[in-house]
Amino acid sequence: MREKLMFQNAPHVRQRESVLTIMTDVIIALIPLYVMSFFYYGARAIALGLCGVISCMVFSLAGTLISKESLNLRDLTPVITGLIIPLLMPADIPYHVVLAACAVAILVVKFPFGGTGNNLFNPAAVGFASVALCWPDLVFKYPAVLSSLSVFGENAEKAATSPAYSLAIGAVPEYDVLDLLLGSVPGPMGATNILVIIACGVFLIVRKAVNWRTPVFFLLTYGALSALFPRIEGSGFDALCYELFSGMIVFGAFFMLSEPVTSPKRDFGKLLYSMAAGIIVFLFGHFGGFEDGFVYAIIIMNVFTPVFDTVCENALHLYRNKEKLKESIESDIKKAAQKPAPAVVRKHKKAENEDKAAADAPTVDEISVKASKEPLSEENSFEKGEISSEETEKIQEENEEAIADKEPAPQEEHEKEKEAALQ
Amino acid sequence: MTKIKEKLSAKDSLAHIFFSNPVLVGGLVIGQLAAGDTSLQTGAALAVTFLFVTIPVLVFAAAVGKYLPRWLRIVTYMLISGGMLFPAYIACSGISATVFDSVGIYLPLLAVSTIPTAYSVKYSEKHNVLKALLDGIALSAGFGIVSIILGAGREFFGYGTLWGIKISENSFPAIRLPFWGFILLGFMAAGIGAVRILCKKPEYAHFGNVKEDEV
Amino acid sequence: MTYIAQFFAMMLTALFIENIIFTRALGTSWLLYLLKKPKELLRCTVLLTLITTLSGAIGYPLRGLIEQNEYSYILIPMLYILCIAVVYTGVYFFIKYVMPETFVNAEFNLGAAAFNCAVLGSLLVPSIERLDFISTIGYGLGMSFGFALAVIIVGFGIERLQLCRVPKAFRGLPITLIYLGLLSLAFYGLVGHQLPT
Repeated sequence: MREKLMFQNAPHVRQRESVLTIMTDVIIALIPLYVMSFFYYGARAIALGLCGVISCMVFSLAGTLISKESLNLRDLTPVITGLIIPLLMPADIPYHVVLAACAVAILVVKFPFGGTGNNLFNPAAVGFASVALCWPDLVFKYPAVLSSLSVFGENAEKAATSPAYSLAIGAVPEYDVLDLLLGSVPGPMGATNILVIIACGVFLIVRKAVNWRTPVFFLLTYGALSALFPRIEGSGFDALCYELFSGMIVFGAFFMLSEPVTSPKRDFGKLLYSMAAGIIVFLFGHFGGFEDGFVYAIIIMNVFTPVFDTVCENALHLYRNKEKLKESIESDIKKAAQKPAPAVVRKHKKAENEDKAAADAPTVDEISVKASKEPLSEENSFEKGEISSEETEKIQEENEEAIADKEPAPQEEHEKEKEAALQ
Repeated sequence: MTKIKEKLSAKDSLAHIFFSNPVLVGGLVIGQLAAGDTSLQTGAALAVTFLFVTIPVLVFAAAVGKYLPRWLRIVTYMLISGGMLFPAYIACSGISATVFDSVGIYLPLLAVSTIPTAYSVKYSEKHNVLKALLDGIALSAGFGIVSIILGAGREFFGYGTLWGIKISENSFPAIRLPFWGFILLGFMAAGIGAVRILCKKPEYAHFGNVKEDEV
Repeated sequence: MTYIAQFFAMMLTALFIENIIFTRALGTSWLLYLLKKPKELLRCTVLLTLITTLSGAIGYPLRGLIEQNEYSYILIPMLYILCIAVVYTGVYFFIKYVMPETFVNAEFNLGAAAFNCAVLGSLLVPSIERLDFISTIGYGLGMSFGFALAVIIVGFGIERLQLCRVPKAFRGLPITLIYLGLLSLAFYGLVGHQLPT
């Protein structure tokens, strides 16, 4: 026996993935996006990434020291936040904007709520959303692709507008679908290289860092709505490609919507959540105040994550207990069917009390005498609904006999009264 | 117990300035500060209006309010606070010609804030006139300190000015948006909470109540 | 038909885009109170809707009399407070004598529903923006439903916050205000670059 059983401490259900492997996989998936950004915009892209990472780590360290918690060197979430925020911005964004976004992401979204694993909102989304409101001219104007940008100095004024801006004003973007796929369009530094993003997303799904349901159902829902209600005229396929591949839709689907802390826990919850997110992002795109309202939609969806969790838990509970639920419903129906029998006794008793003159029928007296002879103990009290099944059957049999033998009696009495009245 | 409460009453009133601040601990009159208090001048205007609107209502509630029929009490308090808006307006006109454009609808809204409506009914009717007067002064001081600090900070970091005078080249105009107001007030409230924990005063964790609390 | 479209358009604007809590921060104290007593939300919303609609209907024609006055900035709010007081008194006695069993529970909520920043704010904003009668009523209705929506949305987060390891100094009001601020940020995604008055 001892040879077959392994004695081991908990946890007993082990899997390959851990929080550290998930975070490492996400960082590995973000590196190709920085490589492409370096190709299109030069060393400034790398400098912005480093600025984001260092500032997030410093703010995270400050928050940990203020809250007097122990330092966890394996916590790579500030690195991920610091890498994502610059990828959402133009390549020539001033460094202080990235710094401000990281400060909001860590000091307002993570630290007051309790640190890693306790944030209610996606830190990168909130950080970007806050600077987009504060400096919209800097955040939503992009440099031309393959323009040489200086790493530390000022850069030339931006002249290019993104495809998302064109869609927002109802104009057809001046780029091909192929340009959108390859990323040779102005836009957020890391969100324009659609093919690379999809490849990184597939890597994350294969490594199980991201649940496939979230990005797939989000893109399907958003794509279906965009195909049905496009913002531009043209062939359905082109309009769909423009809607899907402009802005941060694909990037956000893989790297922001599927964040494990702020998304639902169950697979079915993730499915519902991602479909609802598709609808909200679509509405923000059509009615929002910005050309790209994806991050604001993410923040709204993060609020409803507990609702999806609750709905899924209740649905799962009902599904697992459906057999027990059926049995309990059937037993309730049976109990309800058996209960009317004592009411028959009660009726006859009542009739006797109300109309003593007409109640000469011996059967009623016999029944009532029998009923009165039986002691009404607390256990068998009708009012408490606790008459046992044997007594119910007994009373039922007596009633059936009484009814079968003496049923015509009340009618005979009525006929006699009629005859007497007629006479 | 009643005698102990009476002894503590002056200390309770003065606590409204800091430890039991109506805004940062009680969560009252948040909207006017989060959205309307965007400069030092607007902060001063809000503080002056709060003083004019609050003290007469609390004193009236303590002196006469408890003898009025229930339905008439709050109506009378509101008519008094609404009427006091006019002298407050005259007083605030001396601050700046453009202060009313800056503060917008938030200044007259102080007349229907929670202090004249709920605080007067819940607390002042049960106290004497002196205690109500002390409460009114302390609440006004507490509110005024928060509104001035918040307004000054938002004006300085948003525009680099103080009372309209240019001091630095800061430019962060979005700080006047309500969401920054909420976040800044949240951090200020956390600051008071931290000081309360350090000074070990758990009895002021609840606004207006003198009771122990696990902090 | 145009009036119906205008009514619903203004109602939806007040409900989402210009939500009274998230974009104007009015009625926050009452929201914080209702978070602790969620069972009173339906009653408070009904009373709020009633008071706002009636006050708007009464105040709209009277507003025109003092709009051109030099002191209209302060006289219009005073007029609206008077209108709210009249409506409050009417509703108070109506509920007291026509629905006495409801009055027992509604008496305290009625005062809070009548005299709060959300009601007066929803009357002052249409007067500043010079909205017509239909839009004023639509705005008031949208404000009431938007207030209830805000309470429900913030309630979700407050429940979730119970599971977070919030630092001691942030527990209670501070973290609620920060949460409100972040929600307000999200709703500004609908407003965009425009800032409300």
